[in-house]
Amino acid sequence: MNKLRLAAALFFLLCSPAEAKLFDIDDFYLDNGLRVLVIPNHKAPIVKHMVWYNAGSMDEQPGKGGAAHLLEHLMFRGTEEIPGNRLNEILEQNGAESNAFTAQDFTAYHQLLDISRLELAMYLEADRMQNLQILPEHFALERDIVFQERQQVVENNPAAYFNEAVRRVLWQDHPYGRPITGMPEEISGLRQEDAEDFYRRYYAPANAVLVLSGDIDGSTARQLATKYYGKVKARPSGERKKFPELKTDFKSRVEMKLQGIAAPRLSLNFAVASAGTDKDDIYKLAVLAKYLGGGEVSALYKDLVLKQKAALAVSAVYDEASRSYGTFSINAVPAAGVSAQQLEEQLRRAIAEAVKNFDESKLEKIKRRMRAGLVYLQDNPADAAYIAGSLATVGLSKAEIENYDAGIEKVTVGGVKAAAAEMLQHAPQVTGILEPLGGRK
Amino acid sequence: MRRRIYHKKKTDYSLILWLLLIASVISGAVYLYRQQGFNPQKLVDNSVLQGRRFGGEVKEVAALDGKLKAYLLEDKTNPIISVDFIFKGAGAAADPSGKEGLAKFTAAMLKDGAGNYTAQQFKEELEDYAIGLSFSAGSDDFGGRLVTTKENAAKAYELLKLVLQKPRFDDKDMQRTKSEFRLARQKQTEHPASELSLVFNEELYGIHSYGRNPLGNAAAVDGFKADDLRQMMANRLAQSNLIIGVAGDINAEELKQVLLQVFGELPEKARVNFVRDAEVNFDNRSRNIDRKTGQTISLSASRGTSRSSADFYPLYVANYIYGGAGLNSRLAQAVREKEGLVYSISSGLGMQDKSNLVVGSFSTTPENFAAVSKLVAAERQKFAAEGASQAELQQAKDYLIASYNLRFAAIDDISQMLVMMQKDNLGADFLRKRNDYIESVSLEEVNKAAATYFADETVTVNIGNFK
Repeated sequence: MNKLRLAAALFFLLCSPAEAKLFDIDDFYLDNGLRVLVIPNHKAPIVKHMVWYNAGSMDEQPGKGGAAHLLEHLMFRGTEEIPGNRLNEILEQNGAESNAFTAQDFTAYHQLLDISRLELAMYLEADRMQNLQILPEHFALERDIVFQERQQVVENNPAAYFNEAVRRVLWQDHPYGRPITGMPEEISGLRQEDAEDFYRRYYAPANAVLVLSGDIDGSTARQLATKYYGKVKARPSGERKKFPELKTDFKSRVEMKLQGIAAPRLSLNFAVASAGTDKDDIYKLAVLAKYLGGGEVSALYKDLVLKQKAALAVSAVYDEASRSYGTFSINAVPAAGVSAQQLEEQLRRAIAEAVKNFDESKLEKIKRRMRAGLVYLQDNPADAAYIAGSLATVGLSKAEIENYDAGIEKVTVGGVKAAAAEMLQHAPQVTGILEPLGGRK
Repeated sequence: MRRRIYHKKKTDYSLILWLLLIASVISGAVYLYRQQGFNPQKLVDNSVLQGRRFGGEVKEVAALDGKLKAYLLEDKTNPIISVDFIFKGAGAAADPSGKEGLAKFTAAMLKDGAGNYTAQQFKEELEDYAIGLSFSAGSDDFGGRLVTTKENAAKAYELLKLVLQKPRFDDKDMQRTKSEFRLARQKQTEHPASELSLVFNEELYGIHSYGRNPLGNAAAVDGFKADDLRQMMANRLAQSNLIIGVAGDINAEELKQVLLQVFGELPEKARVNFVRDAEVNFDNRSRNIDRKTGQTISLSASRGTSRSSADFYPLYVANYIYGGAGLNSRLAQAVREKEGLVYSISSGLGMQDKSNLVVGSFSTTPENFAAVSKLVAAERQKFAAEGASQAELQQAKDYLIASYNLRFAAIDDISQMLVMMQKDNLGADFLRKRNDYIESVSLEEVNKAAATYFADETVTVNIGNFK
């Protein structure tokens, strides 16, 4: 460590608050560029082992929708050394709960394991980081399986089908507008080279984050990570796409009547700041979501459900863990006799009033509540691994993850009001209304 | 010249020898390296992380002359406490006819205020102190869960006691909850899988209360009065049918006080409606519900066995091999991994107090439906006829034993497990014995279970595209 960096580190230590950190993370890099996060939790002799690749459906080549997700499936179909179904068999024999998921921004492979099996899992995961072998017959089978997955998860669920339509309009030509699974005809058109190309481009150690959360300390983790993942050759990671800027000041609507839908619902969806675009804004928007629609004590619930009796449910959700824009949505279900359109009017009025009435005492209450619940995040090592892993993958530093509550603490009334005004007036937004089509399915 | 040739020859020879030697050293090294890589057992045995045990011990804590009992697993890793409890037999199946949905409705109303706290004030209080409190009603039991930080534990116990003693059931909250139930019943038909599960229960159980919609019906729910809820609580939520599991940062002495404080004033004896055993007529009938959906979904059930029966562990292991082992189960291998015909396919044990089933399910696009049904039937027949192999049994045992510690990941999962251990009469030392139970299952027993339970007649309901 040179003197300048030492001075910087000391400065940081002196400046950061002395109180407990969120997860007590140990954070380091291997020589091949792999980032490692260790979250010790010694409650039980178990560990959540996750590898996050900083690549998801948004990184797919044009027309290759579903390639990232299909590759995720193929990662379970063997390497040269551990062919076919051996990976699944070995993990099963060793009591692992093993799975993976693909998102817009990232793809993660994970196992919950007895701690005595961690080294084994690290060996297997490091192996498939560089030695994946896709056989044509496996490719054909998995393409059929992901086609079935899409049918099961989207086409069989009218609400999911509607949400996909809303996202298409909100994100316009931004890659977030494409479904993670790919469109059915895209899936059918994928070729083996597409999956291999994605693997080559993005599954490099320097483009990944390893998370070890559980009964392990930093120094053992460092030793084991070096032993198993240190062997993976460094290689260049695919070029990062520049994400298209969304047109601002655009407001749109999706109204859909669907067979199968029995209860109408309404949603306001905004493209906003994220951990990847504006780290300062995420705390303000998190407070705003909690204030407007965090459960049955929120401002909108009190107004629309309890006072006006115009809605049966209302909630606000903010997703900041993305590389490009974040999403803020406010969802509501109209009460009997109230149309979705009538509720929309009420909802807009209620949001404006709630923002106007936001003050110091309300802010303090929200902060206190957010702080009080943080200790629960330290209970389940799998939860901690997910939270820290997703935030690190989209670009938060260890300090930013650890000091999440300090970020919340700094939020001001004016800051929240300004963030709300910016979102409501200038963010790209889509109003979604889903109603029954009537008649029997 | 000759010398040179000879010399050359000699050189050639030694070069080849050297190359051979080098090649064999390299391939030997690669072989050894590979051997290391190919030997997962060795990796596990030699791991520096070997030999750790979960240290917790389950204790039974009693209060009020043994009228209140709880299993406790003390764990001080984090300053949080989880209290799980059920009232046995107080669930939806015990709702009297005409009051269908009462248990679930009461569960939903219990957070709507108690004592001097209105619904809103009560919920604000839970938020302010970061207390998680929830109630639920399954078919058999009525349950509750309290999760709190140690710091706010006193407040949490006080609020829980207040809910059990003095729930408000204010009229405006009753009305709102009735609307929520109407909405929930509407939404039940929006997803083919949830519509299927309702019809499936009807088809299996007919007029038995397991066949009813757990959310009740419009006539019954809309007619509920606060008195119905109070009466339900007075009859069904008592010390005699209460089972409690507690995990986290609390010791036996503290817990004893909590038991007294929170549950000490409940009525002593419960009066729950008798629910008869559900007699399902398994006669291989099959019913199709026609809907326009992306996939057709199939649910199928046959006779199972109870948790206390001698067949339980053999059947548990047999089902694991047949359809419980994720991608490695026989069903998933045959239908998904080898044919690519489905995304999801599995089987499981459906165990309730009055009915025990083996349930199988899959969903697939219409053009695959006949092929999948045929493959499933063939797998089932083969499993019943031939049973499992020794290797499959070993694989199953390895998984079930090696995954043992995963149950201790979350504090609320632990407290829930402690409740189930008592409900199933497994004893406080169950966790120490559990792996032995698995280990002692023989191939003969598994194959007998396969022959008994997988050759049985079924009832099947499918939803999807049949026209």
